[in-house]
Amino acid sequence: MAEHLRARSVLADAGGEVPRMFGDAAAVRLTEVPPAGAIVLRLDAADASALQQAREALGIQLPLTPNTWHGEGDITVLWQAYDEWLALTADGRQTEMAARLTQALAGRHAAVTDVSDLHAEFLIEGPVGRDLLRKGCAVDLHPRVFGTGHLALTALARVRVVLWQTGDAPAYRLRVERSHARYLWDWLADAGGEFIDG
Amino acid sequence: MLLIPCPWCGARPDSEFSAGGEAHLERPDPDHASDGQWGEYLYFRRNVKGVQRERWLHSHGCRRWFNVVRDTVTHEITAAYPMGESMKETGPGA
Ligand SMILES: [Zn+2]
Repeated sequence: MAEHLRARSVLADAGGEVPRMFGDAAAVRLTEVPPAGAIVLRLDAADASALQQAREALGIQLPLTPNTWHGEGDITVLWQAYDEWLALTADGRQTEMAARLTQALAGRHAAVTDVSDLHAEFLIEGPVGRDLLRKGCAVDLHPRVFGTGHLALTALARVRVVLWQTGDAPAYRLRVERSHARYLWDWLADAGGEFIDG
Repeated sequence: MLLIPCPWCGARPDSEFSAGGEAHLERPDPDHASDGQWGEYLYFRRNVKGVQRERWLHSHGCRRWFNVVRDTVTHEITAAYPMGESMKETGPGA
């Protein structure tokens, strides 16, 4: 069996430290999150027994409410559409996760796809994180309607992202297609400049 | 900015969507349709001035197609519903 290939930082070629950081915790700080294992799971959400099989294979419930996510231990499951979820785990665990799901859903109208190479992931945290995102994102992120546990598939600075809130501080995670990651990092750093001293 | 109500994600700006033109077109059986009927199906649309049913793709969101009832004069959207739902359930509109 082939050895697992370690994913590289998407910003590594830009020089500087890896993982990359920008800003400060008092205002807003960006961090490149180390690559995760990622699986796209598609199944019919109206099929209660398929949902149950997937839950047992993952050890965690699939979020059925649109625009939400759910995490337990090192597994996070993000709603993507009425028949699609993105499951994240530690890099290196995805092959086993995909195998368990594939086995559990054998013979069903379902699909399990390893997409660990698809995205880069950033963490955005600090009191003005929301203001920074608002500069390039049309989704309403006001805490009245968007808080910890919420998620949006939307556009940030004109590129497609998966954005989800992980803390009230606030803290957000953001996944972007790797080919757009450098552009989005530079956009965030540029847009965040006005909030950061020095 | 036009807000389009995705049946799953909720109201989102039109920049997240792609337009798919007139909805509820019936595809004729290609084995039995005349060239005229096939040409009508492929190339001719009613181009309604007023309330129209049309298809939209939430391309920057859930990436799913759905139908919208929109007034082509005022841009007012009065309904959005998943593919496969009948026209009768969702009120008036050509
Ligand atoms: Zn949507």
